[in-house]
Amino acid sequence: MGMLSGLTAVLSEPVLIVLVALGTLAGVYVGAVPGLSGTMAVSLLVSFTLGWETRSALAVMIGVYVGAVFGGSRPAILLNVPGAPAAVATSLDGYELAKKGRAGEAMGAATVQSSIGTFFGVLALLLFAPPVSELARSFRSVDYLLLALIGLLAVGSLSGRSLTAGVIAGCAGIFLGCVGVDAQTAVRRFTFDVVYLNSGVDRVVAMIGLFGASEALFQLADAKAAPVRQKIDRVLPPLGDALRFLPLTLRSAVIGILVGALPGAGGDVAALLSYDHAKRTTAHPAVPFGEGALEGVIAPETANNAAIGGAFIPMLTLGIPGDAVTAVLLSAFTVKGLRPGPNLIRESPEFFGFIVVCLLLAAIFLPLFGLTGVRAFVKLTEIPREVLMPSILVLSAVGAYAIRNSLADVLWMFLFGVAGYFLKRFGYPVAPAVVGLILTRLCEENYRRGVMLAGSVPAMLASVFKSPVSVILLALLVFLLAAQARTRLRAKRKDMRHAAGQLDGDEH
Amino acid sequence: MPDNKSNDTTEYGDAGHAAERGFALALLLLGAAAFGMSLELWHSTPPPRASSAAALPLIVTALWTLAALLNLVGIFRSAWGGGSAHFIDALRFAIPPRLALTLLAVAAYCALLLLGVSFYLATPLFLFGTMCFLCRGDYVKNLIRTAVVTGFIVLVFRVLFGVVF
Repeated sequence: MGMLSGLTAVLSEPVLIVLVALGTLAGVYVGAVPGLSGTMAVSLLVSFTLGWETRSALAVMIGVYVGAVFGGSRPAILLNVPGAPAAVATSLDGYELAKKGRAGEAMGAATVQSSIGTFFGVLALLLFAPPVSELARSFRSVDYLLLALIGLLAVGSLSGRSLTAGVIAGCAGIFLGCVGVDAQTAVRRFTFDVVYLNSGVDRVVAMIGLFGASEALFQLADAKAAPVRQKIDRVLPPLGDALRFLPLTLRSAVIGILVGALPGAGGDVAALLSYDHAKRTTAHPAVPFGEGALEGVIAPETANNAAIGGAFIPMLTLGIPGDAVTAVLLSAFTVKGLRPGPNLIRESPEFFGFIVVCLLLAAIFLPLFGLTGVRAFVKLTEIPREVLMPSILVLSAVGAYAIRNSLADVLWMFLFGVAGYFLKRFGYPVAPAVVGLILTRLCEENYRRGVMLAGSVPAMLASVFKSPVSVILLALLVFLLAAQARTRLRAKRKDMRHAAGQLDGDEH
Repeated sequence: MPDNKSNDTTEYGDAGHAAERGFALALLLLGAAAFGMSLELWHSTPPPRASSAAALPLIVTALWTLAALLNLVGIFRSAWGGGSAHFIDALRFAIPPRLALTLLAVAAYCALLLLGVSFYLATPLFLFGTMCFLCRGDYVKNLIRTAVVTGFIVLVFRVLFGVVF
């Protein structure tokens, strides 16, 4: 009923459709610029649309939100500079595809999967909002901690052949996440009396430095590197491919919806978990993960856009934002005199239906705008390194500055860039450091809260067995840990057999 | 250039492996220093310490130090761990001259911004200078490229998003 009234509202005012379209288009390009984010754009729109009619304002904001989440994948694929933390996982294989001349294919897959992910997220919002909301409400601190630990297992799968290298990078990332004034006790941790560090290391600054600037420096260090010619005869993925990857798409969408529905865990966590899940469950990828596996783009892009619908669930049903953008949207609703919460669906079904229709429209417009300009964008990678990389360095600097209008962010970004360069130079993975940084807050806050509530660490661990959700998460964690250990042991035995075989060959 | 994804370091040579050992040692020292700071924080926080601000840093820095130690031992034990090279060669491997000059340009750019030089002056200077150095000429083309990039940044960040430089 609410859906119908929402649809009626949109169809009776075609300008609303135009506003969703414009918002989506703007969001795609805003999200593509590192340092600019959907959160920033929606925040600006809250004040920009203050005098607008409520539905018009919401239509454009929702369009920007959906477009921006997808938009971060473009620079992630083309330049290894994720436009947002939610695109970090996409860059792992997306950029490798671009290096092999398949950037068009990667961007086409990212576009289609983002649209599909958004669609599934909206479907979950429409059909399953109350039960998903109940599930999200049942999550305790220990459940969030288990989820964060599952996410941290991604460090292992992102480590490549050397687990110790990945663990070092991951631990360094978590340590960086601990820098600053502790929110609970106001204790200054590792700030060295530097005022800038009191607010901690901004993860977007670290991400731009560790991914963007470091890659630019790494490319510049190699005088022999040449631009890669891109094959762009095919951008839109064939239907056969979409069907082949459908099971992975569905699973990634479920991960995105469930993680997105958890307050504090947004598209970035969903994308990482989904990437890790894809890596574990894809038995024989055509290309290994980390070297240009298409599944490595499909999974995170589906999940981070499905998380949009997920994030709306607690926001609309409980009045609790699912992520940073929905937190801003919540304030926009308040400004407009709306009150998301437990009674919303019952008392204002037309409003709920309107949000759903806008999200659906954005999901439809996404492939239209996402696929436009792909060929032009892809040409970016063919620009000579000597021109492109200094431009990326400047763009990284400006992007870092735009976050808080702080020159200190620029300096720290370059420091992270240099650190990231050395990690890459000596074969250490950079992604685990960013994963650690992203998950620190989720992990630490819930660990400490869980221990305080339970009274001690053993009591907190014992409380895991008091909830079926916790037991399932713990079982999942143990299973994934065992699976990872088994995979590494097998790989090591294979290497030893290979080395023994080579030795035998030499002897003969 | 070694593949930074697969940790394959067989192409390094003696200078590369010397630099690799140096970097691994630096990671170990950093980890140990972080562990030391975390331990100090642990001792300075009142009980209960298990839920204190020092708990997570202590755990991760201990893990970091252990992993870095294992990593360093692994590097020394590997087949290529026995090579030796002059410090300058190792440094050249870690920071090739082309990159070193680029880093100097980055440092100069940051210095200009810190000294209060206008963004609209420092950025084109950095871009034009770096491109001309890396391209070994092409002054006119690089001037146009600098103008395009700077114009794009001003349009998007300043005009559209109101970022004040």
